[in-house]
Amino acid sequence: MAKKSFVGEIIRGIIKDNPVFVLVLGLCPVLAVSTSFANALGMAMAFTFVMLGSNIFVSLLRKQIPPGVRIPIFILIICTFVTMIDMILEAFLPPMYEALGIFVPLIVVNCIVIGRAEAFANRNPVLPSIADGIGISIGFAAALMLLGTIREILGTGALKLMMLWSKDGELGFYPLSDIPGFSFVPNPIEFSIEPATVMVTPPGAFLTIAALMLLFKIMSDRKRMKQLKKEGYEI
Amino acid sequence: MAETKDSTVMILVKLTLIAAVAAVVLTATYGVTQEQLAKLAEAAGGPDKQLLKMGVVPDATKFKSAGGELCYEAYDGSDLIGYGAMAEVQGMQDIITLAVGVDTDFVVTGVVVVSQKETPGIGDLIKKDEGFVAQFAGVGLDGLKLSDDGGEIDGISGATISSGYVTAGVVEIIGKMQQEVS
Repeated sequence: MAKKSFVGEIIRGIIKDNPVFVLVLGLCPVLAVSTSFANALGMAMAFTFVMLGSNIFVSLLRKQIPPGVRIPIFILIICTFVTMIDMILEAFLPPMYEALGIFVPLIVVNCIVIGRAEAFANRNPVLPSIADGIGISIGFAAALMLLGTIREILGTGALKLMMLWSKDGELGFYPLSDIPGFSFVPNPIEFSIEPATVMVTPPGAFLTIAALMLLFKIMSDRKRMKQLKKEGYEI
Repeated sequence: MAETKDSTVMILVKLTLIAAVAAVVLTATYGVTQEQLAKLAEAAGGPDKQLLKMGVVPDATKFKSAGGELCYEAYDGSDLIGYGAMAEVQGMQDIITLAVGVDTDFVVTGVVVVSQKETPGIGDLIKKDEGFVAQFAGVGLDGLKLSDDGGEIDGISGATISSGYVTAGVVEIIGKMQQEVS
């Protein structure tokens, strides 16, 4: 694989290889937890932890992993990180643990994580693998939070912006307005639209993803057309 | 990817090693998180403290175990004014934990949905829609049915099934309390 810069790898993970909109991987957790901004944020954080851990360790061990049993070893490594984050969430962020429920343990079989272990970390040194992990995680987080925001606004008519914050010594998700410097942000932000319940159900997720994919596709096609015209093709 | 072909023994050794490291890491995490969970549980107090805090029997000043597994006696000063219990019941998606308070005639004084995993935006209204659980107060066992079935509880529109499970759960918990008290 050609040498690429660390930043280049990150950006590739966000845009060219965006796990949700381009690779269309890991739709199951995306559908299930993108009902609100806060859930999407929590899921994105848990995912990033697992994605980075898995990429780093698969890459470190890549010369030691016997090819015949690489998948079981990937799963073992991923499982370890998922179990860790599951236990950590249960102990330190109980409300988030309750909201995400089964979808944290299910990161084990998230095809994005296994996919990157197999397609990238197993073939590249540690640093590019970290970059890949960061890029893919940001891409996944961006997709999830975009979906979460759209679905929360259309489905409930309001948006609660939450952040991970420590208040009075208690770590948790607090409304953005509770955080010093952001008190001007209303909580929740109200929109004068009739809430459509379908948007917070799985069909709503499909509709939103379809609309966003269409946008993604139109944008990338436009770019390609321009490129082709530049090269002198008649379109 | 490694070029050398590992023998079966090497594969076994490597798998075992990785699994062993994973086990050690997880054991350490488990230790830390269990400590934190124990702290959380201590902060929340036993079921008696939690029932008092949730106010399922509004006039109660303390709850005392009735000797059984679930049921706690609610006292206002030294007068027995009702019973409270917290239990897990079946929901549409998963277990729902309910706290139920009744007076001495087993008429409901309060219901709280402690935890649930119903469909976000629909079934989870059983917890988020405060008007729903508020309807239970003052209703006796006869009326504890959805209004569609001739009872006094109006289901949440769009979440009738979850509403039904909560109603059935309240009946179930009251039944258990009656058994334990008598």
